Amino acid sequence: MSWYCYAVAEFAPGNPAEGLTGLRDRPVSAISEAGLTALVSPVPDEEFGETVLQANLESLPWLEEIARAHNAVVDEANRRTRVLPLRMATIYRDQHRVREMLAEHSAHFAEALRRVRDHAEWGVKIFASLRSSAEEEEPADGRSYLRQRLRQRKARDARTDEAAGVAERIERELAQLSAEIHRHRNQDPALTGREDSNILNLACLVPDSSRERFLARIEELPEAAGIVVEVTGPWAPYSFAGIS
Amino acid sequence: MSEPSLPAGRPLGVSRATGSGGGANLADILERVLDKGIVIAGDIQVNLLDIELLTIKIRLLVASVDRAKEMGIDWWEHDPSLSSGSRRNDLLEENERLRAQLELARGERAEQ
Repeated sequence: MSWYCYAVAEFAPGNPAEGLTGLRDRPVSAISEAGLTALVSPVPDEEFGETVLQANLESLPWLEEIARAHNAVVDEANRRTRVLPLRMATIYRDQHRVREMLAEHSAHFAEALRRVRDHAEWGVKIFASLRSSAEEEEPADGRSYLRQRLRQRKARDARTDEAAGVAERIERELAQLSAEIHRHRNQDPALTGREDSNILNLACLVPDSSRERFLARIEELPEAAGIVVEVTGPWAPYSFAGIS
Repeated sequence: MSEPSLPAGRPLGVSRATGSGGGANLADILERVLDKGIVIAGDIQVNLLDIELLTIKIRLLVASVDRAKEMGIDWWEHDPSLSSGSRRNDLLEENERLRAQLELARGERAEQ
């Protein structure tokens, strides 16, 4: 049996893990040290031991299941108190090692917790259609085929440039309403399953006091045609938990 | 300066996704739990595939499965890179190979 660690919170008298269910239906418990609390649950070595864990992580259904369970615990804990999520699959041999980890990184955790206190992470994705909507007729010969390809490529480049301009403008605007901003890699169509392209994928750390203003501004965003805005959140501050 | 305009074709609009809980999309969750969060050494050392490499792997897998189905074969069941390459060297090699595939895929998409 090892201990899977989900997140770290500031120590408080109430148990932030109360009633939470973690991986494999085991209860989440709180381990405190150095003014901090780690949220952990026991995991079986047959599934989370080093060799088998590496193999499991490469199985997409297993990865999805664990990722969702990890996020569910982090998300619920974050509704109760602000937490710093740990990266998936941070596992310790015993509870003593969890305490050592808290003590070792206590200064960094405290600093990061101060930074995200009274803030939440919001995800903002912008999608735009970069494909030509017009159906073109079959080229009559090789030369016209090449001309058509060139024309299509130029049109696509122009749309891509325009989309990049829109994305930059939106990023600048949202940065003004956020304490910090992080640009994630644009999501691949293999993951989004969408026809249009993800041209901007932002995580914004927004003070709770400006949440309404931030969301209201996003409602007004799609001024340009062909743009779809998707907002997710509030998330635990995953993208801003990094110890800087 | 005039505002850039994108071609029409899709309805414009804002969609509020279901949030960060159970209904959130897998890509949103993976890019956070795999690539973000605090990275500290646990007692169990694993090599996590980052979201970009994971995406390529999914794409290759989907493409391979489709092609293999057409041909009626199941070679991927025996391909260690698609089942359980558990040693680090295998992963490093695999990462290099996937990065090469990514470059190729980028080139092809730019051609479209």
